[in-house]
Amino acid sequence: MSSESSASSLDPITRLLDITGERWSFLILRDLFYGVRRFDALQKHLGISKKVLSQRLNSLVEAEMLIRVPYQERPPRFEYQLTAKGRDFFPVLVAMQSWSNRWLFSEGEQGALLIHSDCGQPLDTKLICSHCEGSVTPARIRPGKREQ
Amino acid sequence: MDRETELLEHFRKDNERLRTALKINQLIAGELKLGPLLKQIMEITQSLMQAESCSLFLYDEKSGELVFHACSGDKEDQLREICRLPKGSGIAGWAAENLQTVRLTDVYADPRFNSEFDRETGFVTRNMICTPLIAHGKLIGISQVINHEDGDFTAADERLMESLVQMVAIAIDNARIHERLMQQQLLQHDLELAKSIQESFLPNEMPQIDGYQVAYHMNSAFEVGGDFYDTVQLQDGRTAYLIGDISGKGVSAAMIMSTVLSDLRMELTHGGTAASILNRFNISLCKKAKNGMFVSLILMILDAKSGELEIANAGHLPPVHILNQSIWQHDEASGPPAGIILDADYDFTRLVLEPGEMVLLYTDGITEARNSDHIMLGAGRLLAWLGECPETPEACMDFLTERIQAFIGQATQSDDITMLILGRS
Repeated sequence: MSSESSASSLDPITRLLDITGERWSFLILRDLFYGVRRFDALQKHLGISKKVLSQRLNSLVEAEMLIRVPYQERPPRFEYQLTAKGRDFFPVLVAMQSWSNRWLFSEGEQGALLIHSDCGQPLDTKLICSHCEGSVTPARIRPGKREQ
Repeated sequence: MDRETELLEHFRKDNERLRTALKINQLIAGELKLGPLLKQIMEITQSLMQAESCSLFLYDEKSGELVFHACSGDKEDQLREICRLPKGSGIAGWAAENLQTVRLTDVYADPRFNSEFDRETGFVTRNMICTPLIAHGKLIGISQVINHEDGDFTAADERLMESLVQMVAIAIDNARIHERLMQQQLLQHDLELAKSIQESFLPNEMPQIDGYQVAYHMNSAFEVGGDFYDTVQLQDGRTAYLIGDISGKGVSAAMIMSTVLSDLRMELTHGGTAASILNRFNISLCKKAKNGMFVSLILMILDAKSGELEIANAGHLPPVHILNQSIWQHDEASGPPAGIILDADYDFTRLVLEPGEMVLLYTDGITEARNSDHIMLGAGRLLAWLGECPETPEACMDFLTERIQAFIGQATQSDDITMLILGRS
């Protein structure tokens, strides 16, 4: 048992990992952003067992990242859709992908890219402060609490 | 006659009696069909005992009565009139109840004697020996010699009678064991015949269809229950899967299977929806069906390109859909088993088998199987197992057969167990 793995932890990263701290959850969320919604398609795309996929989907539904929506009555079949909370995870996945492309691929090797539809350029992320639009680096941040 | 001559005569008679007794023993040895032999033994015993008549009554365990079996002597026809002696009735009844020989020099002086038989038959009984036949401690019947030709029956006659009767009892017991064995062999032969007929009508292998797998399993009961399955490639490229259960058991059910499967195959060649094929088959079966014969079955037709299934059900257990995350049992059958109602109008369900899904067709031999505590397996238990079954039809079939076998344990399987699983990869 992880020392900080608890919903009562005040560390946001710990709370996040309680939900997504397992590789399949990130990959399921990635596929849902790509538009894959049905169980059999997710299973085929991820190459995962039914049992594990079912468990991870149930966890994400429980964490309110996804909802299970019926699309057929006979036989009853369902698809999975991102909730607002799930959709808000998008920047996290994009940042992960950018970092991976930058550091985990050797020269000449090309990872999957996301293209920004507006300008047609490969998507890369840059962290700026949404308040002052100034650059954000580890040296320019400090721990704090949200003002009440 | 001096003493020596008297002794010689006595030994000669004893020797003669012994020879005759041995003759009976020889007759019995090696003969397992005792019907005609018993009559012969009665005649020899009658002569040996110097009696007017010798008769044999066998004990009927169910009714407790002594039933006339064989008789010798001039009065045979009269004695034959006494077909059954009620339990405890007369001297014979007493000997049977008490497992003791009764020797009477004057039967009318004994209160146990029932003179009614004499009155009915016109026979006059003076004296008798009545001896129970006992084998392995159990009563087989009684034998009685009536009216000594030259005076009374002696104690020596009684001992001889007991010895003879003992041999006859063992012979009858052996013959009965032999008869039971023969009957068991005949039954076994019938069951093997039924099983081989059943197997001869089942497909050797299922057609291979890209993107789909099929697994099937049949475990015939000791007494074949009339289950069948089949698969037929239709002219329009679709594939038909069938599973069913014919009313009745054994050879008769297996024989009916030939008609049922040939009629079904014929109707399948004419094509149409699953419902129209089932309707045509029902009409042809109703016209042929005799003695209340009927068939419950499911006809499932797969269009492999689209994954579309048409399912028509005639009084059979509804199929179970093993969806990716749940188990879904189809509605009950839309009509009765085929062969009952001529104008039955069967409906059909159309649905798509998605990749990763499976559909299970099965017979009631599974849900009605009982374990040694007489607890029924039931549909609920089957559905619960399916909730945790492996992902491919073959693995799922192995999983189910293992679970079913573990549930039944040492209990006797009373009906055929048949399953067919179609899966889409």
